[in-house]
Amino acid sequence: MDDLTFSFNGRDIPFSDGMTVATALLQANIKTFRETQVLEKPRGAFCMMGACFDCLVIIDSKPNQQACQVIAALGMEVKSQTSRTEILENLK
Amino acid sequence: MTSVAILGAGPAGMKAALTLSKSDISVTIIDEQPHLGGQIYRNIETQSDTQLKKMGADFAAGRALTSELNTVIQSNRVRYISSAIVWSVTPEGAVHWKSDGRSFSETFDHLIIATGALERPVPVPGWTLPGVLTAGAAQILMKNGGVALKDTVLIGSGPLLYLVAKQLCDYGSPPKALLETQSFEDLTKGIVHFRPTRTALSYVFKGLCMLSALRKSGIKRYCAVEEVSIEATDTDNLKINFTTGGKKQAITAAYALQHAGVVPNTQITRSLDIEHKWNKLNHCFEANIDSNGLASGTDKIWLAGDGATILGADAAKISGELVALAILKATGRSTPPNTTSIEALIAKRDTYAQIRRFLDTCYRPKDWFLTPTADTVVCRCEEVSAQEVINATKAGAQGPNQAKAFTRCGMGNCQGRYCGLTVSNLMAKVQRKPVESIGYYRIRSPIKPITLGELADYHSDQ
Repeated sequence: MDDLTFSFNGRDIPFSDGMTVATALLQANIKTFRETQVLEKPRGAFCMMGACFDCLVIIDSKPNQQACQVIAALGMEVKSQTSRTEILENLK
Repeated sequence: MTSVAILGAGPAGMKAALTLSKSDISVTIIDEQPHLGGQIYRNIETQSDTQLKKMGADFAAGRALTSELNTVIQSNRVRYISSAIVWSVTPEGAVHWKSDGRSFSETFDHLIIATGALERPVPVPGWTLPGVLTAGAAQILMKNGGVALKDTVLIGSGPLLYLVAKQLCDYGSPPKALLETQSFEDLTKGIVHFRPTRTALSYVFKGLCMLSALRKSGIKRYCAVEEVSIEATDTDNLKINFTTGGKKQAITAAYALQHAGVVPNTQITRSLDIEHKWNKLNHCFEANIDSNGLASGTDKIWLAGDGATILGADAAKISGELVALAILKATGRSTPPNTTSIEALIAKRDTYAQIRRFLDTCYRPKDWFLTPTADTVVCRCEEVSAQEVINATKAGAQGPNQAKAFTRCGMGNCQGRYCGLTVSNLMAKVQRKPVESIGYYRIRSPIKPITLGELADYHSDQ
């Protein structure tokens, strides 16, 4: 059986069929998924049921994806969302 | 032809669908998840026998329901729309949902809202740190991928706390400690509500077996825990400070799992402007419904399961069947043969309500986190502290909606799901009024985010 992986900030994360992105990240002991937009604080999964919106990540260039709701797929590119400073930098 | 939409595919939604499928009513289930089961029976169809054993008999029992309903769905007697996020519901019975980048809508004659519960927010300093999750989240990790978090401390109270601890043990990752908020006094007060019905006794027996298993596993249990605060350590761990028996203590762990009971998810009912009442024992708001589940002020919107009032999965099945029978009656249809009567189902459900009175009293949420300390983040999404909400209240904000305008609390992505009860309670404390007079956030659609692209890619026929 082929090893299923997706990338998270460039790192290969293994997962099994049916796992959500958040499940796979926590299996790899990754607790911080992003930074908040107001105070730039680290956040990760909290409720795992799509209600708290804390586990937001960028998946294949789409931001604000709830990692606990998206089923992991081979070759997915997952990145941390950061605060608005990244946007401001890009505008320079 | 009468059409009924059931929002949610947990025990209540599934049982309602099965009951209605025996009639000529057109039944549609609209479910956020990709498979039947809701949260409590999440991923149940794909669990191996070993995994089912680790999760326990109550979880395994859900499979009978999902299998039966899947057969009915395959024979086209029930339409199952999965991975569908409902973003708007109207009092006229229209449901708007999005799925796979597109949006859809349909109007139904009756709606059964069976969207379940949320865990009560437990705001303590540091609860927003990575590694702090709900106990339910840890359970979902086991259900969704067989992932059992290692090096955990559980904080809070209630049967689910013990269940998750046991499941973690059975998965080979026993928690480091249980920090339980209930005191011996709470338990003696709870006993007053205990009625030795067969259901109640089997419930207590199950609980005692669980506690005995936890005792055997050697997990350290602390009771009457207060003043919990969590800090990040420089080794990417969490230092959990707490007080018990007047003594200050601390435990370091990789994960802190919070649980102080579950409360109905009232987003949809609030958005429909349905009246809500305050449940004093479970310290939460609930939509006003009659004994059949019909929401007040409407003749086509019904509630079933924990989304109506917290009674647990078995009672949710009863209330799902009950609402379905009530709809059959309301639409002039006869009940299928060999069905339990509505009265008998209500009586059965009341047994569970009595058990809840016992449990809610034993494991009631504590003031020291219901009214968090000033520096605690109350609104996780907008990062608003308790102090800011207190300041807004003192500056004249009458209720949560004004506090929202002053501070942005409740305006974030979760739309108040994890701060609403805290803010209402906090403002009630500052104003020295009962929580029910303070009220709750005004909830408006979209009740889940939807992009312009999804809205634009609209399909009117399913």
